[in-house]
Amino acid sequence: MKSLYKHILIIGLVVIIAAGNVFAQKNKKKTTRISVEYVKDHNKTETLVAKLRVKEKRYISLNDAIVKFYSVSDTSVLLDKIRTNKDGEAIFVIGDNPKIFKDSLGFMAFEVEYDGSTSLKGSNKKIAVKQSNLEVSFFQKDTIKFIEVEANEIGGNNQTSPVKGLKVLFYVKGTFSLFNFAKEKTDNKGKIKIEFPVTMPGDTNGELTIVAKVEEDDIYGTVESMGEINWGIPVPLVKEKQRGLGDTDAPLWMVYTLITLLSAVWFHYLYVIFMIIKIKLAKRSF
Amino acid sequence: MIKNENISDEQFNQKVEKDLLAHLTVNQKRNNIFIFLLIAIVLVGMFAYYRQIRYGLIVTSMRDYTSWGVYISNFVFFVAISLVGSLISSMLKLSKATWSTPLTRISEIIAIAAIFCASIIIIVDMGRPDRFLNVVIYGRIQSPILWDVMIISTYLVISILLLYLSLIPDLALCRDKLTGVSGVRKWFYRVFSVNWKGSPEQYKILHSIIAMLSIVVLPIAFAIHTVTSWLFSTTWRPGWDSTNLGPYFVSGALMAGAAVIIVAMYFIRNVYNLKEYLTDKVFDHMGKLLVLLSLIYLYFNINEYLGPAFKMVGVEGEHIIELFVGKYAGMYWAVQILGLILPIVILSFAWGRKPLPMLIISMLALLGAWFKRFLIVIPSLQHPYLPIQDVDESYRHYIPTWEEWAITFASFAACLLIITFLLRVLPAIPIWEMKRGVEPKSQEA
Repeated sequence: MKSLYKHILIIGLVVIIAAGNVFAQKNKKKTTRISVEYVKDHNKTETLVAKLRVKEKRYISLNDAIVKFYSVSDTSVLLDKIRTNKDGEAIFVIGDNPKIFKDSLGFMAFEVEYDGSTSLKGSNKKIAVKQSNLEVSFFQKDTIKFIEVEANEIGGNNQTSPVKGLKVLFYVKGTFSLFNFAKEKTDNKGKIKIEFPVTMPGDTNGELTIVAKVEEDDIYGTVESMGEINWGIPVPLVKEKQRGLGDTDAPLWMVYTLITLLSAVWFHYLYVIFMIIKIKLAKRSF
Repeated sequence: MIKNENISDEQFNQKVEKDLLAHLTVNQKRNNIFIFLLIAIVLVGMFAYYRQIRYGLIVTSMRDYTSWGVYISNFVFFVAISLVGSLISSMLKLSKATWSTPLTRISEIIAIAAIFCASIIIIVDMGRPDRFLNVVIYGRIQSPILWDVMIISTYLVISILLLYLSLIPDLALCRDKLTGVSGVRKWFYRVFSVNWKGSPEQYKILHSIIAMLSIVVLPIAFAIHTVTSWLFSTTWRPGWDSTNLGPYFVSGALMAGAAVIIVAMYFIRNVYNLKEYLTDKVFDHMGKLLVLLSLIYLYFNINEYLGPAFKMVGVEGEHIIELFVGKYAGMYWAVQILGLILPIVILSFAWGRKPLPMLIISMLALLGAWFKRFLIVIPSLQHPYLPIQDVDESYRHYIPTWEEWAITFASFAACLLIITFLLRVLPAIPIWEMKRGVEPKSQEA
């Protein structure tokens, strides 16, 4: 029996060590892929969002890796080194960074780079974007309600000019996501005028948040603007339903019942252990 | 049972002791090969689990919709067969079915092995097993998952206590009679026989606490499988949204428990040469019991499917079509016919209740029981009430990966390994309960 267990132990150790070696020998570098997007949100904060992924069976996010951000002109100037988050994203806030070069047409060129590691190949990506502004406003003509969006680009000398033919998507902001209800292109004045979706339910006051968005445009990247107005259909608050057992707090009757039942059972176990001790201490009487 | 009834009690008891202790000292090469094979399967399973820990649950086929796969089917199966302990040690014992006495030890050992493997497999199913304690620390008492954790641990403890209590006189016998065993085993027998001398006082205490636990185990045994069924019935999915699920699971578990004890007793009687104790008569009784339990399970099966099949409402209807004539139809009908109808038919005849036919039938019933759990878990998950859309094609299907199969087979191997190990150090049949006139007269009063 003893030798049997010795053999089992040895075989087990050999298998575990062999399995470890198989992995140690597998040192071919894996491919990485980096993408970058320029985003200007409704607060007018401009960011570069680099997303780093590594190829396993399919591409998955690579977190905790350093991504370098450069401003590119004749030479590349390092702007920052940022570590990727759990989604594999490194986010660089552009702000009024004096190191960023803008050409005479207003284009800013950037490069993001991942150097790689002992097990991962490096990757890089370049992007050139032009700054722009989107403004959402609302007006009413007779009984018809309208949303107006105006798009302007910012040139090299910071002069603004209307953007023609820019595709803008319109959303209503929901609790969890955006609901798309229209898609239009700007006219010669850089403007779009669409009818307000009056059948859309709002909050208790009929308040709706309208989001206008340029999405991943080749020149302007992703630009977002939003406006709020109480033109939606007011929806009264739904009284929260009692969800019974699924609620956050257990009903007291359940807590007491469970504790009572389990205590009763476990008391029997303790009693059995006590009686086993009594068996041990019992004297031989025959 | 031993045929010669004319021999004295002393001769009879000597023979019982000799026969039932024999397998604890014999070194069986066949047994060793079997153990090595089981260990090899467990090691492969451990390697698969290592991969699952390293790469995450992505190595399995489980995705957003089929989020419970073979692991949970396997968990329900293990919980089911663990019910064998209470079936034999409690239900049959309390109903004074003395023919089942030789089966009590085996059933308790199987119950412990099964419930232990059920506990392990549920941890294997977790993407982050290191967070398991959070279930206990931050658990919501109104969650069926927490009820399951509580009831499984409660059942595991009572199963261990039931096995141990009925072992005490036999451990004392091993302590006094076994020679040539290792020092560790001697120590084990000495310590765990708790100074057993067979005094009237000791017998009195032992009988009273065994009787008490035989009663206490009943509601726990029913609860363990009912609570497992509630994991499903409190989740809104076609096939699970049923009030029938509790008794349906309990009846299926009792049937699987009866089948597993028949398989175990066939091999134990042949490998350990215990034909005089695990007689054809015991097989015959177990065969009849399996027929009865199968009929009850058949009743609940009809109950479970007739209503939804009659109405064929929405996703419930799709689920039924998938089972009856769709992609799971082959498995579904094989389970119903081979795993349920066939045992009822064959075991209804006396020739069907002979050991070998019963082994084959019970194996079919057990296979049917496992695949039945697969059919309860997977097709329901593939038919959520909200439509599946905008997802990868792989989300719509579920074919277990090799890692899942390896871990599943490893859990079976681990269960068999625990049983085999316990049978190597413990008498397979309760010797003190098989003896005649051993207990002091004062106790019998």
